[in-house]
Amino acid sequence: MLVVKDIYKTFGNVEALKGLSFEVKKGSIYGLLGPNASGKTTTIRIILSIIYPDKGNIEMDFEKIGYMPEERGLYPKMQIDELIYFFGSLRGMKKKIVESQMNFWLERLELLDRKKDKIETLSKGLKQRLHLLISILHDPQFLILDEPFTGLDPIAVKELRELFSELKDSGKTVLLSTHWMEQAEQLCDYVCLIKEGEKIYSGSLEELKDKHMRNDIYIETKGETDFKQIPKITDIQSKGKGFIIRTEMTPGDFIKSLTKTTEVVEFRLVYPSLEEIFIKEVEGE
Amino acid sequence: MSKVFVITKREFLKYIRSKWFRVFFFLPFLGAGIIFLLSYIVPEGGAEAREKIKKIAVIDHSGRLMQYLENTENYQFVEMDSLQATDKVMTGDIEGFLVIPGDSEIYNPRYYSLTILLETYKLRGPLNTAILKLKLEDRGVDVSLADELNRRVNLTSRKITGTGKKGGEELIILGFVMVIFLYMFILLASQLMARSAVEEKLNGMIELIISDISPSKLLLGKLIGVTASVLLLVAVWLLIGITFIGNAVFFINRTIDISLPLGVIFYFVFAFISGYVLYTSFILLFVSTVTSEQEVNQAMSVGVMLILIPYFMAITLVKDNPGSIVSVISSQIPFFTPLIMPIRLSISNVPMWEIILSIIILTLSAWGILMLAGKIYRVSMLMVGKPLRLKEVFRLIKMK
Repeated sequence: MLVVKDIYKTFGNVEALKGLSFEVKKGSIYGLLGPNASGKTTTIRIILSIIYPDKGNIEMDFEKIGYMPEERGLYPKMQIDELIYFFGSLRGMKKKIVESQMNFWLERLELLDRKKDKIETLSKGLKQRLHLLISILHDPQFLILDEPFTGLDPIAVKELRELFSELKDSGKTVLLSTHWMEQAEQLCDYVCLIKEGEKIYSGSLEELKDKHMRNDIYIETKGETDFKQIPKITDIQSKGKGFIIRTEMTPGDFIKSLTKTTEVVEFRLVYPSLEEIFIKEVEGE
Repeated sequence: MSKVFVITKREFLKYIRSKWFRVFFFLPFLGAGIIFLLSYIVPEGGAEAREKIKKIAVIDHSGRLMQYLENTENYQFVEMDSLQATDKVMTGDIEGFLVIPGDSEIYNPRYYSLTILLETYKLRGPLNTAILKLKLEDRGVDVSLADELNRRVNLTSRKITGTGKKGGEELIILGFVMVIFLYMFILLASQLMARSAVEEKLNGMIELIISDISPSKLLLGKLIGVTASVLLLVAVWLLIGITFIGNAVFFINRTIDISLPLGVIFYFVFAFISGYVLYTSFILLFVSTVTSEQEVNQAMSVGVMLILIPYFMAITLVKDNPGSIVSVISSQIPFFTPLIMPIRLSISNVPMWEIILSIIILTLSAWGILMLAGKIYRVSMLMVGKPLRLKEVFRLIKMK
């Protein structure tokens, strides 16, 4: 478990963190979400003891931590296997263990045939995979990923997302810092929304969505239906073959209010997307 | 394996596998090989004898000088008329011709050849002796007196030291060798170190690496690795140099006394270590704050300028006058001490208090700047994006 307790950090005149607190439970994927310059990377650096907070503290019972920073440089002239051995020995791993871990992950990440290639010959996506390999080489219990999807094409993003889910399934805890709400929505169990170094929300993603639930209903009917005739409807927007309707009624009352002649093809509740929630929260609507 | 050692190993291997290292490593072998090869090809009998004796035609308008012009080790003089001499120069039978004017103009001879003669002094000697003999004959004096008059004084210089031991030219030469060696080592190693120190910052992996090792340990590992690779190179050069000098000494059959006073050796080792630490730390002060490759070059040029000044001072001003105010003061300025004090010690007797004072000042300065550079390095490594201004650097120094 990781507990971030009321941390403050100032750089010169800039207050980067203003009393940030959150908890990451074991075996979950936790999203640290916020716009650029909101203090995500500063928080990660403090968790990793790269820098120290002015006030507040960090409690953690993970022994081994893996880190994939946002900045993704590597020694360009080094061979892939040399780089892996280098980080292995830096983490005090035995050569044999490094070798078995390396071969396992190189195969899993489809990099095994490139083992002896120089890093400068790899594409951006492959370098990203190599970065991930380095961060999980020593089999950490806790993995910190800072903007892992930046600069990747949709296929690479999907592959990476699947891999993170796999890591979670294998019992690892993941802290994912990103401003890509779509990816966070698909991956995270819990989130912490931060803006200008302050927490806006922390807790489960489900609860956040429930909190922002606004009785929006998607309905598709056969033939034309005049929804304007139905009372207590505040907004109607067409979407695909149907409409998204915002009403003051409960979904049950709404369906009862439809005329008996209306034939419903599809009816479901519409949850707000994380992106909508994020924008709303960040803009302080 | 300790983390520092992992970094040291990587740095060391990186440099000894690099192209420049191979070039510098094999260069002295190549040089020594060529020289040895040449010594076998060229006939024996001393360096001067190996040079071909050049034939010089003499067109003697005085009509009397030729009789006194004696052949030298390099030149053989043959009397000719101008037409014949011009032809022979063109056909390459002779090197050139000397035109000796008559009467009062005898002091202004001219030399003509297809290439400009750079070593005119080699001809001037025999010509002076010949003219002197001519003038002596005119005054009725025995011409053999000329050889006696021309004999040069053989003056040698020895340094008297406090212990009564005497050092000679060898000590001065070694003093210079030391300074040149120190200059080259510091220049090469500090430049490599500066580049190495900011490698991860510039290639964007600093954040990844300092989550595994602290910046101070990273810097220490790099310092040891770079220094070890440069020392290996220097050791090879020295080995080749000593072997080569040893052979040369054997060939010319002369003993060279290269025993150095213990104090000078101690000071040299001290200047070597503290000078290296001082200059490298100083360059690091500037390099730590850079954010691009171009800025690295600019930052390093500051360090190069700083070491060039004492180097030129050492080989000019201080060498000519080791006891002057300029020499005394400059040998106490920390950035100048490592190059200037060894020269002063090898040429003159430096008072003990000056030596001790310079050791104290240099040690404190090197330590202070190393600590400062380490601090700025630690806090500036994660600062990317824009170059730091001087005001911000001072703020970094104050930061926890």
